[in-house]
Amino acid sequence: MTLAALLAVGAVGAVGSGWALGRGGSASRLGAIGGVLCLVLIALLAALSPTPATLTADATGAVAGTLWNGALVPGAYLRVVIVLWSAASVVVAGVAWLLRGTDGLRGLLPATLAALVGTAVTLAASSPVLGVVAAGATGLASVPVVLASPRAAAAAIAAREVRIAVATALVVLAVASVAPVLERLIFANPDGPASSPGSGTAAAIAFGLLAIALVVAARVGAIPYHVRVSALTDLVAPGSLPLVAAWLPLPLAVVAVGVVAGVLAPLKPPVGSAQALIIAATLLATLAAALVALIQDDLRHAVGYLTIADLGFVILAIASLDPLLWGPARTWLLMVAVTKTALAVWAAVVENRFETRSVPELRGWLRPSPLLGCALLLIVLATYGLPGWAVMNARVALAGHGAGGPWDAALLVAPILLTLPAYVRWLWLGMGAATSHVDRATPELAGMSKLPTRRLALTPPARGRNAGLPIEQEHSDTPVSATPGWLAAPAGGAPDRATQAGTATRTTTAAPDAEAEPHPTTPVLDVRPGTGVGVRGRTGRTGRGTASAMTASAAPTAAAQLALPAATPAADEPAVPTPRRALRATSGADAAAQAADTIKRHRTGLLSGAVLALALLASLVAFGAFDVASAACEPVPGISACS
Amino acid sequence: MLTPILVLVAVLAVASGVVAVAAPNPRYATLGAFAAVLLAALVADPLPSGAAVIARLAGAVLGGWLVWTALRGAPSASARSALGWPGAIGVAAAAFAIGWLAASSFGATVAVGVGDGMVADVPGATLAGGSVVARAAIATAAVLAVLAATPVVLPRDGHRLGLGLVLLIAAASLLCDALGAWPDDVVELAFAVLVALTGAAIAAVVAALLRTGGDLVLHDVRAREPAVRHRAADDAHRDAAR
Repeated sequence: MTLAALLAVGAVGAVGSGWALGRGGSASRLGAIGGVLCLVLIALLAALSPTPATLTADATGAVAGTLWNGALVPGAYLRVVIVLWSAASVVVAGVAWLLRGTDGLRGLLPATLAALVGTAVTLAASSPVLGVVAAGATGLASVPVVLASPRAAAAAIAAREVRIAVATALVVLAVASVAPVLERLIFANPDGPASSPGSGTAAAIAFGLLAIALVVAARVGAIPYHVRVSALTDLVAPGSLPLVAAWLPLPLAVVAVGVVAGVLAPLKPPVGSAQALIIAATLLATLAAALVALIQDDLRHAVGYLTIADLGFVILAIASLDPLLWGPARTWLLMVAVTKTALAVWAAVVENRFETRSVPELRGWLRPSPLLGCALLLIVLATYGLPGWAVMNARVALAGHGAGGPWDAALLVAPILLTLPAYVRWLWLGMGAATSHVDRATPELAGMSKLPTRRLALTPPARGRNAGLPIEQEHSDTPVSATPGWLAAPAGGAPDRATQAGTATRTTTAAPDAEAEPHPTTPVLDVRPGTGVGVRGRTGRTGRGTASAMTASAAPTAAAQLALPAATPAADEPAVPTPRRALRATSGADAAAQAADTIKRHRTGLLSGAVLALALLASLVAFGAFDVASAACEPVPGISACS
Repeated sequence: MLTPILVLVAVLAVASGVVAVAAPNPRYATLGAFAAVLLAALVADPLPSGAAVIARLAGAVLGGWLVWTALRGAPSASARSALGWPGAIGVAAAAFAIGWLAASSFGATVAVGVGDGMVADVPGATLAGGSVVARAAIATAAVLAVLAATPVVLPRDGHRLGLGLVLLIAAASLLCDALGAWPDDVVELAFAVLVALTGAAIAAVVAALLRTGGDLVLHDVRAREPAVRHRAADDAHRDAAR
């Protein structure tokens, strides 16, 4: 019953939030709130779902807690995965909202909810075929995330996402369908297994093993299938990257490992050469991804490659044909998903804070961002762990049992040695002299109490569904219709320079035909007492503009003069007592607006706190909290090798 | 009694697959693909339950309707298979023959290898028992997989790529039914959901392609992000949204 409720809440939430978020306005806000509530509810339902140990059969023989006569059986691993995923998604949704407003949740929330439903079915499936089909359907959740991007390339990338989701699942399905017949063939021989090196049966099993390793590599984006992930990192909103890069590959990888452990491994085929080939390819792919992550100057791409490097490690469990690796492989997949969620969100916040995703331009980021620094250290700790931690045990098991012989040491040490320098590089750069990007960013801690940020919209006003939203303009009692700065993604917009504290005069420019263009670039001013003024460019396309390299100063003509006051109000006071704001205060009916104002003022600290929370969660999971390791080793119905 | 009818249904599924890849009109191609996935559900020995057939029918109709609706405003001709009608029919005939022979050979191998140990209701039993329907199902699966290979592996058109995936789903379900692996009504329901969701995803992709490019062609996705690369002096005037 709990599982059914979980699936129902997820499905209804996905459809409802997807519909509402696409409509804009108040419906969009309701959709966002409803979607987050569904996430919370799913986490609660998953936490309360019964485990197989507590399932009891009634008088008719039906087992309570299961669905469709035992076709879906909730397990401990399902519970841990869904709870952690939905809890992390709540934080990620909050970060996405702070970064881009409700536009940042379009695609993300419905896709997350749909993926949770699909993953629940996948992990609860008692037959491999059902699990594989559900995993294929789960992979389709990346489509709304990709198509939420306004870029023209989104459609082509979405088409390739559909291909990778469906085709990989079907290959695993074919292997899972043929293998039982081979099993009959092999074990029917009264003199022992009929599979011998060079026999047709052994060749068929080796072919199936290679096919599964190949499709799992393609699904996680291991090199040479990394172009898809690289394109995704460029395309999707930063808050959506954890979903498409770390979580969505999990269901298919889990099912693939299950098929290998439960269907192929019992056949004990003599496929040593195929295993060696897979291990060598995995080692090369992991090393290549780690190396690219190290030399990559694009922060998003580096995060993508680090994710690839770690996720690809699970292919060792496929190569090993060892049912004992069923548990460590599932532990590893969950660890990587949680850890890389924290890392991707850290990168998104850093990119937003410093308005660049170029690693060299982030020099000095650590000093104004101690919370983000702590978060990155925790993420590194969660990635590698310490002796005795669940993540370290899983890594050692995969490298040792997966490869064996002379490979295990290389597979254990080399990825660590090659991926660790990427993190060290970021930390080292963070302690250097600050670049202009870092210099003008809002200080993390001071921003929470002393430095309210107010953004003033210059002409032209935004259009589209945000056209009716008010923004206070300097020396004017009339609100100007424009997109609020905190609702839009400022990433990529580069302020020209900070001016003196107090009265500041800034010359900015706009394109001569800005009014005639369908999506004009709206300059936005950041006003911070004591720090000066920054001007950033932002595409005004209904708040969905991606990172823009254009700045106000880059446009050729149409100069505008702007004078700024000597001081702004204190942090706990309204920024400008406009009539609209006064009306809100007198009505007393808009406590939510006041809360939003408070959140806006504390945005910088809240973002850092959210990243720190995710990093702490990742550390706890890596340590072995929530009983992750034993839940991952839980036998699953239908996987005979684990029974 | 039913065997000839089911073999005929298998042939119709093959014909639908040919239409899906060879018809220049994207709407006809859509009809062909989803008809193939629907007919494929019926080529099974024993026949699927009524609930399973209804579920598969609903999934195919819903997925096909979504794609059909998304094709509103699409060009009347899109990038069909380079083989054309004669080539596609020839490839389908060859793949059907090869699939039939392979199924017969595999069934005989299983029957000889297992011998008296083979009982009904275990994976491969129908094939080893010489079921014509199982052989026709595997032959049809081979045809659909071969026809879908080109648009899936080397996609030029987002719509045709999606239809290729639908054909692959049909092929996979035929393989499962023919081998008798994991037979279950819930699995049939899962296939139906997968077909419907794949149709929805294809429809979304088609709508996005028509909105951004006016056609169904997949454009290059490897353009680098202009906001990140090292900038030259004149980069400020480039379109950052592309």
